[in-house]
Parts: sequence; structure tokens; C-alpha cells
Amino acid sequence: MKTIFGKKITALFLTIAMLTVALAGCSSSGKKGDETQTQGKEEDTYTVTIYAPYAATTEDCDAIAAKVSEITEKLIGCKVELARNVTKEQLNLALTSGEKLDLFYAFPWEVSLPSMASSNQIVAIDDLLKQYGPDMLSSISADDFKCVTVGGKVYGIPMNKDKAQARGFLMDKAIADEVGIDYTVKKTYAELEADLQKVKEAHPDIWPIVANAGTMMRPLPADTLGDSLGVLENALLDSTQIVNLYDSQSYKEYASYMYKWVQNGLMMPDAANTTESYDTLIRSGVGFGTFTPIKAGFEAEETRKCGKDIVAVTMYDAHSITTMVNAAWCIANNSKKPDKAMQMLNLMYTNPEIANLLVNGIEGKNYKYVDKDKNIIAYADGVDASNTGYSVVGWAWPNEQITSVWQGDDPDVWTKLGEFNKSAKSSPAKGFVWDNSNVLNEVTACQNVVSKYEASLDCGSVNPDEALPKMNDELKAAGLDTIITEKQKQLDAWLAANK
Amino acid sequence: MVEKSKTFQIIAHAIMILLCLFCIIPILLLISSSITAENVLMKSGYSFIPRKIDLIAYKYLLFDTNSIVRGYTVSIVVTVIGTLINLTLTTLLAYPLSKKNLPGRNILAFFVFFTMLFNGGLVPSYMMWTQTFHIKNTIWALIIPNLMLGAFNVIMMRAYFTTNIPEEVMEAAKVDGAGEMKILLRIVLPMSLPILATLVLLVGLGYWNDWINGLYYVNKDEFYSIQVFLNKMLQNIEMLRKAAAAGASAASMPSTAIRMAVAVIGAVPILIVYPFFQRYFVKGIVIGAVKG
Repeated sequence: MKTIFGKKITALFLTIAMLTVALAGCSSSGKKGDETQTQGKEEDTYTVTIYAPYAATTEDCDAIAAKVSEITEKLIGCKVELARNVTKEQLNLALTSGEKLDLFYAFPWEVSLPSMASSNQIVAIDDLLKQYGPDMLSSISADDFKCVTVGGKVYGIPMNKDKAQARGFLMDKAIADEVGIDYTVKKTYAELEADLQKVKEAHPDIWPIVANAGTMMRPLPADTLGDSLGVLENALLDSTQIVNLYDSQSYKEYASYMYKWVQNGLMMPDAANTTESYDTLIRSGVGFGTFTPIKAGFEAEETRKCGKDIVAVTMYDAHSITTMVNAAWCIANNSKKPDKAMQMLNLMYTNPEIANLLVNGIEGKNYKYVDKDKNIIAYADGVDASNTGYSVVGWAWPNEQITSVWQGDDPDVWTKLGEFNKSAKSSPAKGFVWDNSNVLNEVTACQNVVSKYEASLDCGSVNPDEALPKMNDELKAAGLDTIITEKQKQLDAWLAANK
Repeated sequence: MVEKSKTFQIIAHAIMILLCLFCIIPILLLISSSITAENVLMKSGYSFIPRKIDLIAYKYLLFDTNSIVRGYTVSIVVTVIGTLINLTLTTLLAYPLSKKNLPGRNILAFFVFFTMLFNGGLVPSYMMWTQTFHIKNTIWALIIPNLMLGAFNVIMMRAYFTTNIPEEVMEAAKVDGAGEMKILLRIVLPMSLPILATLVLLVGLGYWNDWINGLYYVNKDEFYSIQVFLNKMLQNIEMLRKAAAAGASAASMPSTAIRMAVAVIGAVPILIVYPFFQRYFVKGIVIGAVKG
């Protein structure tokens, strides 16, 4: 009995051993293949791996990477590998696991530049920039570089997109003209209310204000200083006193109006629970308008999106704060050749051919020229926004301003955008990068409170006279004052250093 | 006595019918809204009987046939292969563990049990799978991590073996000259159909519904399963919305009916397969619960 069992056991172990060998064989042969591949590449050309966001098919990415590689091999002697559709989770895993990755996008609402810098996930690029990116160094303002500076070192290249925003209200032009709304002048809440009332009377079946998938873009000029917990109430003014946004006069005013508008039917009710975006609501004739950030070329873009002529009323002038600028392209610490990555980034920023390939795809496959002289493009034949294999999100790339202009946009949109960025008022704290690592527990606690109340207050679902005091009590209990003190300390130190 | 059981029957049925409605109503609403015209949906909200039937959402999805068909193919392949491997491994591990005379049985059982309480965490497992085993962007990325062998399933199966297969039967087989393998294949497995069916359903559902592995280990669209595809789509919407809130301009988002249609498409195969396994499922769970 014992011996039979012994034999069986031996057999079992042998089976396991064989399986292991077989598996190891598979994995090691795969590994070898990889190694020879990378070695082969390293001998002749390095491959720069780029991670970018938003939808695209692997097929199109590979085709575009191949085209880009043709150019880069000549110019800087490296190839390019492109992966889009990258999610926050994949990006974080790639950064923490040491996976091969050279260049990637860093949105401030997804990853934190200070924490990536302090945990050594990204490379400080000051020296590389001087050596390989003099064009970028000269064309990006010192102010903008401050927004991506942590501890005195530059960690990224700000995306050359809209770096400032005005705040206002976008609306359906046809209806606005019909009821006689003057959208050329700046308006207050009360004036806007009168206009919306007219819309309501003329079209009782349309909501004058709709929400954007359960959220509202508050028409407030506050500098959120990173996370809205402790803000400068008005970025257009010079005060550097940090206050609690939800206790400020401007927020109270906004929330009270929203509540009132829900009560008298100007704003769609229960908006915090809707999942529809405003463009869907306006396109289908359910809504008339919504609060919005405004930038140069904004109306053409929204018109395309909503499928109707769109105009906008400004409520607060354009202002520029850190989070509008510090969406950046960074070099991962996992990069084996940061110098090549930097050269590539420089090309992405300065070479129109490469920028066009990466932003718009391949001519004839993804887009076609409508007017080659004026550099105007449209979707290629048989392709539209719903079936393209390569979604066009220009601002998420290093420099959309050297790419072709889409049909429907102002041919001078990039010049105008550049002027708009320059003309906007900088917040006194623009360039200040908030590092919340000292008060992480409080931040988490406060964010929980905010997410509990914010949507319903923003959408006017609850009475701010009751909800706001409750929210502020909870924020205090969660440690908002500690955050504000810490933030003020960092801001004061930053101001002193950057006088 | 009869009266009492009648009242009980009525109440029990009422409760069950209510629960049943709770499950069915949302699905009906989902299907109905997926075939409703977009602007009607916007204007008058959801309704059980579509006010205006419009199959545009399905047309849109079928236009993107490649992604859908590929998603289904990947999902089916992963579910079938994964379930087969999982069941084989689970059986081969659970069966020896159910033997009281297996040397080192407690230690082996502890190793299995231990994984239920502790694991390496996300980043180390990610590093292991991507850097040692190189499964990133292969079909194995959807099959191996997390799903291929579950301690809970092993323990459930072992409990079934020890409590439901009489030792005498196995001994009789041994006396008749059967080896362990023969006993397992000819005696034990045929007697374990309920637990096998239960596991097929649990594991199969796990594979079919899984999108986490796709999220972590796959960024090539030829390996997107139907759930990953759906999830990517929703994530792109979410990303664009956040970007819009932070001030960047957003591209237009897919509309409600399409999202509903995608959900229908993702759920339908399971709805079709479920009834075939249901009777085993109930039996398996009851047996496990009463005697295990």
C-alpha cells in the first residue's frame, strides 16, 4: 500500500516537474525571443515607447507608428512604438512596475506630478531640455514651465493647448436669436436669468439649462489650486488669501441661483442623476444651454459637437491657473534612453509632419485635405467620428498648434488660441504646484465630503441654505482647516521664492 | 397543517414573484430603451413600451461589426479554454486533497487556503505576469491571472468529494483493480456532476464577465473581450467628461441607446446559457450547503 502510494506520489511529482519544465520552456523561449529582439534593436535603433490616451485601434496605431518611425529614423535614429487607449490604471502599473515606457501623457486629474516626481517615476528634464529641446525651451513661457516644476526641477512639457479659460454660458444660437438674447456682452446671473425666462416662455418644453452628465461647470473664476480644497476665490484679482470655496460668497450665490432656477423651472430637475452629456441634450432639443469654459475657437468646436449653431455669453474673463497648464508630457524613469525620448518629444512638439501623424492619423486613411494651401482637413471618405480607428483629440498631444486645422474651425484658430492664452489674466498663484502628501488623510476625508454634496449643490437639487452649512461643518471636521493652513504655507513660500 | 402550508405557499410565491420582478423589470427597461429613438429617450425618459422604435443603436454597433465579432470571439475562446483549464486544475488539486491518507495533506491544504487570505498585491503580480511570464497583450493575459485556479473552488470541490462520494465506492473500485486515475475519471467525476456544473457556471461567468485582466494586461484591440470593449468605451466617455470638467474640450460621446444596446449585447449570451445549467447549479449549492 505504502509503496504503491509512493509510486503514485513520485508519478505525480514527475508530472508536475514535467509540466513546470514545459511551461518554463514556453516562457523562457518567449523571453529569449524578446531579448534578441530588443538586443537587435539596441544595436541598430532604439524604440521609443509612447503612451497616449483615448480611443484608437491597434492597427491604426501601428500604421502611424511605422510612418513616424520612417521620419524619426532619419532625423534622430530611433523608432517609435505607439499605444493609445491607455487607462489611468495601465499607466500607473507601467510606471510602478518598471515596464519599458518612454513618453507618456500626464493629466493632472489622473496622476499627480509632485507624487510621480517624489517617487522617482518621472525624469527631471532640465539638462535634457537644454541639450535637445532648445526650441521648446524658447517657445514655452517661463510661467508655463513653473506649472510643471516640482522642487525646482522641470518634470514635463506642458501640452500646448488652451492654457486659459473664460467662464460663461453656451446656448443654441437659433433660439437665442429668436427670443432676442444679446450674447455679445458680459452678463451677471440676474441678467442671464431674465434671458432664460424669455426662452422658457417661448419654448415651455425646453429646459433653459441642462447639466453635463450630472455635473455642472461652475461659472466661478476661482483658482482651484490643484484640488478645490482651499482656493483663491477670484483668480482675476490679486489676493493670495486661501479660502474655503464652499464657504465663499461666489459659491453661495451660484448655488442659490441654481436652486432657485430648479424651483422655477429654468434648470432641469434632478440633474445630478442624469448621465447625458450637454451636447446630447442640446442636439436632441431637450436643452437650450449650459455653463461652460470658454476659449478661442470654442464656438466652432461646440457647434460641431452639438450639431447646432452655438454661441456663448461670457460671465468671467479669461484667466489662467496651474491646472489649466500642467497637463504635460513626461519622460518615464523606466526609459532606457531618456535622451532619445527627449529628442522624440522635441520632434513631437516642433515637427508638423510628426505632430500631424500623431494627432490626426494618416492622410487618405484617417483624414483628407480639403484645402492643402490653407492646411485644412476633414475626415477621409467613408470615415466619420463614429467609426474612425483613430480618435482626434489634439489638445492631449504635446503641440496641437502645429497640426492641420479641421474643417469648420477658424483657419487662424491656432494663432487666435495663442493670442488668447497670452492675453488671459494669470492667477497670482499660477505656477504653484500643490503637494498634498503631508495632509493626505485630510484630503481624502474632505474629498469624500465634497463628493457627497457637490453634485446636488452644483445642480441645484438641494437648498444651499440648509446643505452648505452642513457641508462646511463636515469639511471642518474632516480637517479642511489643516489643508488650508498647509496650502497657504506652501503658497507663501512659493510666492516668496518666485517674486 | 394543509391550510398552513397553503398560506406559506402563497406568501412564499408572492415574495418570489416580487423578487423575480425586481430582476426582470430592469432588464426589460434596458432592452426597451435600447430600441427607443434617441430624442424620444431624451425628451420623455425611459418607458417599458418604446414610444418610437428605432434600431439605430444596433445598426451603429453592427456597423462596427469587427469589434463586436472580435469581442465575442475573444470572450468565447477565453471562457471555454479558461473554464476547461480551471476545472481540470481544480479537480486535480481537490481530489488528492480529499484523500485522508495523502502525505502532507494539511500543508498542501494550508497553501491553498492561505491564498484566500493573502496575496502579493497588484503591482507585484503585474510585474510577475508581465516581466517573468510575458503574458501582456497575449490571450493568456485574459485566462491566467486571478481566474485560472481559485482556492474557494478547490475547497468547495474537496468538500463535495469528502462528503458525497462514499469511500466504500472508491475502495470497491480499487479492489476491482482500478488505479487512482481510473477511479477519478470513472467513479468520482460521474458522481460529481452537480458540483462540476456549479463550477462551470461560476467559473464561466467569471471569465465572461471579467474586464479587470483586460484593463491591466491588454492594450491591443485584437485581445479585447466583449466586456473589455464595453468597458473601454465607457472609460473613454468618463475620461472625456473629466477632461471637459478640467477645461479641455471633449469629443462627442456615444449616446444612451448605444450604451443600453452594448449592455444587452454583453449580457445576452449568458442569459441564453444560464437555463441549461440552472438545475445543476441549484442542486450543487444545496448539497454543498447542507452537508459541507
